[in-house]
Amino acid sequence: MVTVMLGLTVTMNNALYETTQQVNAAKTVATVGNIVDTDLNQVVAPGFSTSNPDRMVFAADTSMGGGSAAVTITYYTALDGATGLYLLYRTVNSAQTLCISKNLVSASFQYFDTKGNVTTTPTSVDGIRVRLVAQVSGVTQGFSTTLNDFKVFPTNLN
Amino acid sequence: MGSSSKVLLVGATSLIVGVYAISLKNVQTTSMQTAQSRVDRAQNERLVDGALILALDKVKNTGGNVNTTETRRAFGADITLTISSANGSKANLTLTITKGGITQTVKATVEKQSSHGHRWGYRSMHRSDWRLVNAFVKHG
Repeated sequence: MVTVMLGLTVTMNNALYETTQQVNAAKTVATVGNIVDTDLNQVVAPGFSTSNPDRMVFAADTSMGGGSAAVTITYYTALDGATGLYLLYRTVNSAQTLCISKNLVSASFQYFDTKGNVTTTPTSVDGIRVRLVAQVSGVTQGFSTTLNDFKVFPTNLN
Repeated sequence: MGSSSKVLLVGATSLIVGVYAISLKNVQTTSMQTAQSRVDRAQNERLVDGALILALDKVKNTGGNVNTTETRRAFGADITLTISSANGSKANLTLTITKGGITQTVKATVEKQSSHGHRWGYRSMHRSDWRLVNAFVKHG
């Protein structure tokens, strides 16, 4: 009976641990997605200057139309050789680069023109798809990754 | 093992299982909240677009030269729209959109543009010659 009790406790502990890790990873990648989403919704003319799968650079008005000069926001990914995971960086103008995520199995940006076709031409970008796949640390089987995949069509690009 | 020990063991097991079950439910609730926040993001975007269309309608219907404030109930939200600096060719909009206890403030500019090289995109908005030039949304 003691064995059964211990086995039950271990099983439930594992379930709780894995579920918690999955939820934490999902919440973290959702927060990162919200940061990217907020920035992308502030895109203003001249819009994008770089639109690569691993890097995007765009002008954004972070003053909510308050008249401040647009800033240049850069997002780019880099592979961390030590972990084999991708890092996602965010830079505003020439300020210090901030790493906003470091547990990504993959991170990519895809761009669409006004007709919905995939484009790589910065001046043609009307919509952006952001795809972030984060690793769930401590979980080796089952749901070992979590996905945040969303599209943004900034109003001020039109 | 005596019967009292067995009862104690069963009680302890039940307690542990109960605590883990509650903890799992709490984690699942957080998971659902995270998923809901993604849905809310898309919903809020649609709500803002709908409110901007209402405001564009108002500007168009008043000829674009009337400053006014009005409150409407639409899309399940309370929308207060203010048109200012309207001069017949341009107007500023301020929208306050409240739904489910969450308020979004939108500052936008509309212009009368009969014809020029305007880009047409997914969220391009216009009513007759009146087009949305820019819009900035502040949450909370």
